[in-house]
Amino acid sequence: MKSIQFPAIAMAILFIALCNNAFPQNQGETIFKQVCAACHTIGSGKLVGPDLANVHTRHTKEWIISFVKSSQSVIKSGDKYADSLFKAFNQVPMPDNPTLTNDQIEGIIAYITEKSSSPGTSTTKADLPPGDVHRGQELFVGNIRFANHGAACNSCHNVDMSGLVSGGALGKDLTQVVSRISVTGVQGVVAGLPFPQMKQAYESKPLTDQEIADVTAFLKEANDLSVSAQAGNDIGEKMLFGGISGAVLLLFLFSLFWIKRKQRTVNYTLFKRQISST
Amino acid sequence: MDYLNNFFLIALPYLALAIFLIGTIFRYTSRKFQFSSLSSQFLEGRKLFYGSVPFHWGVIFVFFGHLIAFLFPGSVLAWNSQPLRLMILEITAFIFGISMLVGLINLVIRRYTTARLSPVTNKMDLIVYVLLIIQTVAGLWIAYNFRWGSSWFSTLLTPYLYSIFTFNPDITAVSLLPWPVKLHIAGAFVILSIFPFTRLVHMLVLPLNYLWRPYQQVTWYWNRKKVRSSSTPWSLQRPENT
Repeated sequence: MKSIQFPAIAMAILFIALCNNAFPQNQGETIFKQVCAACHTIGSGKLVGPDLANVHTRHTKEWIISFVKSSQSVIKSGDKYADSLFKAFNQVPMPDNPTLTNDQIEGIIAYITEKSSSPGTSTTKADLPPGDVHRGQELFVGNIRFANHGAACNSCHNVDMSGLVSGGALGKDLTQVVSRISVTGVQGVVAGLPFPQMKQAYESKPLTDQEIADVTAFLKEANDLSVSAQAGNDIGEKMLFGGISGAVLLLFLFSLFWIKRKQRTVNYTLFKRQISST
Repeated sequence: MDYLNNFFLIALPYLALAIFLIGTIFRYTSRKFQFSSLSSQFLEGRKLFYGSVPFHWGVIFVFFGHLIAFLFPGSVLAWNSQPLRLMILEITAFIFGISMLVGLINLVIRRYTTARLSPVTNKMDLIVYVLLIIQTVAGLWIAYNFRWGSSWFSTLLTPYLYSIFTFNPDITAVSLLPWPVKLHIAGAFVILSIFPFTRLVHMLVLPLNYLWRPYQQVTWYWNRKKVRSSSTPWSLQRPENT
């Protein structure tokens, strides 16, 4: 047991040490851009999460630290404001940041306070090239692969659109994502990868600026079309029907393939022959 | 919640792997003749066909599907990059999953409704059946409700499994997955942990030479005709073929 414990403890110490050294103290700006900017602006309006301009005047420092470390814990503790915030922003849970220290979060607050005096600071990609809707659709469903070989968006996400293959159901439906978090929010999420699953999937295979622009253009088109018509291309029932039909066919094929199998006891024919000959 | 995630996604896998390795080696070296599926085909064969065949073809396809996604995630993503190919893969896997479940249900019914099988059935068989049913239902549930598993397995679960096998566990992304997926992961490791103590060990000693060996001819030494005849009592010595 000791041999198992030692590497586990050693790894835990190393992990904590690495996490603590990843963001040097008083580098609020760096941490903000790495951790927060994908979902938040300072004075440029809401994205996935709220605009953080003057956040220090709306909440106490302790509350912000708790919320940044684990927003869901604050919500579950019965904090009504945290709950209303969660509901107001489409119930998209803010990822936990348990490795950030209090000093580092205070550094972020200091940076936000400083930037709040000159509002309008855009923190996301503002210089993306114009997007191509058709290419964005092909990238989304996978007909064109991403340059860095990341998985197609429809592995996890669905967009209801006439003529479009049903997408995955693991992630949120993106048909009206632009209405929910705006074009800038979509760009911020795809570029900044604030959600752990997206981070794991695309951190080593990031989308290029052109790809982000194309996918965003497609999502905006899907959003606009969805307001007038619902395609309803859910594949669930078809999959269930296909699965059950296929399984029945498979059982039939098994029976057919092994039709000459020994269906009775090994010595059945011997008994039968001997009895009939007596 | 963190404690549960840490236990089921980090501690349990290492515990299961350790038990699997130590238990399997111990059983193989000390009780080699127990390394068997303990076949009951001689006792009952008709119901077995509709249990064993669909179950085994289903589990072989599904197991190797998971293994390929783990070993060659890039190839799976490349295959899935065409929506039609993605559909073919997912629906085929779903069909084999249903086949596995149907076979499993038939096997359970056969084992517990055939009186001749009760002497060769032990408690571990029941545990294996329960775990396999939970695992199969969870897998089908995930395939149906959290599409497209083959793609997100390659992007989310493969890195997690690599992190486990390289002793650098990272559950950041996996811990946020829906609970049926976590149940499926934990279920797989629980099955791995009971592996050495059940008939599942037959997976490790597949008699592959059966595929190309010649048929075995079985001939009776006794004179079956005389044995079956009531006019020739053979209480002292069985009549033999001459």
